Amino acid sequence: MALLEVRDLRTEFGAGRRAVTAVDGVSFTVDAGEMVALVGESGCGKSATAQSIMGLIVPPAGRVAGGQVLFEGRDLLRMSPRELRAVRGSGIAMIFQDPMTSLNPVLTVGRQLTESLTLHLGLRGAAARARAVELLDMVRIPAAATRLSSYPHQLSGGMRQRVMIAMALSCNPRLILADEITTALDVTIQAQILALLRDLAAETRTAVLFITHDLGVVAGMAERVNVMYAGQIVESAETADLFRRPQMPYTWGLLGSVPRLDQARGGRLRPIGGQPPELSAMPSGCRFAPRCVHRRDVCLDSPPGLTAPREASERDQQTRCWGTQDASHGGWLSTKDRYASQLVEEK
Amino acid sequence: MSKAPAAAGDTLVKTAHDPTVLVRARDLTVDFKVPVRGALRPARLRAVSGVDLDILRGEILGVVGESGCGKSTTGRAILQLIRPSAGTVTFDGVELTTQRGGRLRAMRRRMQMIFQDPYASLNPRMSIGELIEEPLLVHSGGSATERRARALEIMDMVGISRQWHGRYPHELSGGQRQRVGIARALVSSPEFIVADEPVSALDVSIQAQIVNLLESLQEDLGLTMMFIAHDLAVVRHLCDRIAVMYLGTVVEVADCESVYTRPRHPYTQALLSAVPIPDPDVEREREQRILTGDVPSPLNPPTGCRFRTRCWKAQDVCEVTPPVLAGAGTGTGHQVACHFPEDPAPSGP
Repeated sequence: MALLEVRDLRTEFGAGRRAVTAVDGVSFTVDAGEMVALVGESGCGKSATAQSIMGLIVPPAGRVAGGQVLFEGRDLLRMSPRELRAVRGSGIAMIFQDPMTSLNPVLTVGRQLTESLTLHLGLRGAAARARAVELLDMVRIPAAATRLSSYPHQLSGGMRQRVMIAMALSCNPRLILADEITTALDVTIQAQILALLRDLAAETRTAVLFITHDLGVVAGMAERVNVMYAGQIVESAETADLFRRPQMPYTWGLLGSVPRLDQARGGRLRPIGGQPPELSAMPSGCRFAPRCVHRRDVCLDSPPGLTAPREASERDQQTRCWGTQDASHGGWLSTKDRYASQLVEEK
Repeated sequence: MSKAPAAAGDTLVKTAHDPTVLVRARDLTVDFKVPVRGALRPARLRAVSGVDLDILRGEILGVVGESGCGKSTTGRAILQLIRPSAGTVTFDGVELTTQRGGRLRAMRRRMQMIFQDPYASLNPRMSIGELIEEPLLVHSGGSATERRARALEIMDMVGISRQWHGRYPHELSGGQRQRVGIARALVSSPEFIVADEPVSALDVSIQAQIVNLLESLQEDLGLTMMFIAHDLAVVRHLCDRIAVMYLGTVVEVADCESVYTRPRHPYTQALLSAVPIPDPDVEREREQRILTGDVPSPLNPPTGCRFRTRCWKAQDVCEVTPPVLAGAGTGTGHQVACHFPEDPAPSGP
């Protein structure tokens, strides 16, 4: 059994006729101890997915309109607030992009750390304090004991994110949701934080759902990747397969759009034309079709499902694309097309 | 081995007008006053500390570094948007720091800026057409008809459909807004552009569109550009030369290939190794040098070399003597400010 299984999740924002579906039929799994990435551009629904899992989508702003979120077999969406509180913290913990807004500015770091230790593990006084020091040591904060009396504003961005990781790990959760945790950090600090999370997750065998827009970060962190576009998962694969044998033209486009540090200036980038659709005006067929140079009539007419592509049928890879399916359904895309779209244009 | 100290001088002293250099900053220093609680006087924050920089005609110079390293302040001080506290900036042989009023404005027509945030840098009450024509009004750019014609021409060039002329910024996406920002910068036909993190706020697929646009505009118009960024992969893709900044100082300057294939300053090495590469095979094989600690506060920078507190090579001398930016003879060679730099590339005379 998977640790986390998300089935056909639908999340809406707004009310009545103006409601938009930000997450539309998202399904994926995270196994125990596994690191899985959700990657996509702004507005693709990756953060809304994480918030739905944690029960952080609160009416009237939005609501989870359908699906299941099974954590160790129990549906989080059907739990009482009390049961959910028990799962949060000790079962699933979350780390957010901006530690300044998720730490309480008027409480010391020590107070915030011991609070969750008391709440979930029943540790008090000196025992809680000792564990808090241990946690700060674990996230490699120098002079941990004296840092307990610091306030969040006295710490740098990188230090704050370390405190967040310490808090997330404090109750030995089985799953951590990490939502764009290094986006606000400088690159040398990002490297520190990523290495820390990678090491600690491996040591404590904690599974991580890693949400990011950065394909470079994905390549170094995740075992599996789910690419999201316009509220749906459009490609899902093992990390190595996704980068070596991407199937869906949107994934080709993403990979072709990022310049690589290890490649000399060769030619023009291959951007994706146009921009993602508005949530309120989703195309009726494939949601990427209006921007796709490989589209055919079927793409504009009917939405493709998430299925194993023709070329990778023996692999654990899925795409939401008519062009990659077997010949009876179309299946006109080939490796040749992929190379053509990933190569840089000659100057 | 470390360089001979004598080499320090020849690079930087030359101030005579060199026709290949469009912009030359010497000993550029910018101080800000910041209030300190409990103190009577504000403290002095030296954001840029004695920066020497040459920007060659027709090149794209990338300026990279982490937040607070002074890269944006350097760009603004070069354009005189922030007046430097000390040092000189010459543009095409003309000293800018002593210019005022109308004469400075006349120079400004020739040098423009593209801003990071396409949401904050456009007046929401002006139409796209008005926004693009505004610089022409300031720089006495002909009649209303001529201005409109020029705006439409520039809109074609940057890829904004003409139908947007009468519409407003809130109707545009981030990428299109950035195109408007670029159009505003280019409408007065400048020679020099300072682009301050122009693609940082954009999603990757849109970022690539704007990078390509800047690249082709630079080629077609023969622009000289200072491209300020924290994304080292974008800089490698776009720029001819690179200056790496740390805590208000330039630590390394060289052509793109030298910096990326053979970085000489320890900070540059660490910075490059920290950038994730979108390829799991490469990413998992390569060695990373992860720096410990944070960037020190610019209010109280370390003595001597500013990087020494995080440097694995630091010796006693680094604590005492600030290293000078020095290197191979000419202003365009590989320059590095370090007491113990990596040896230069073995090729070359």
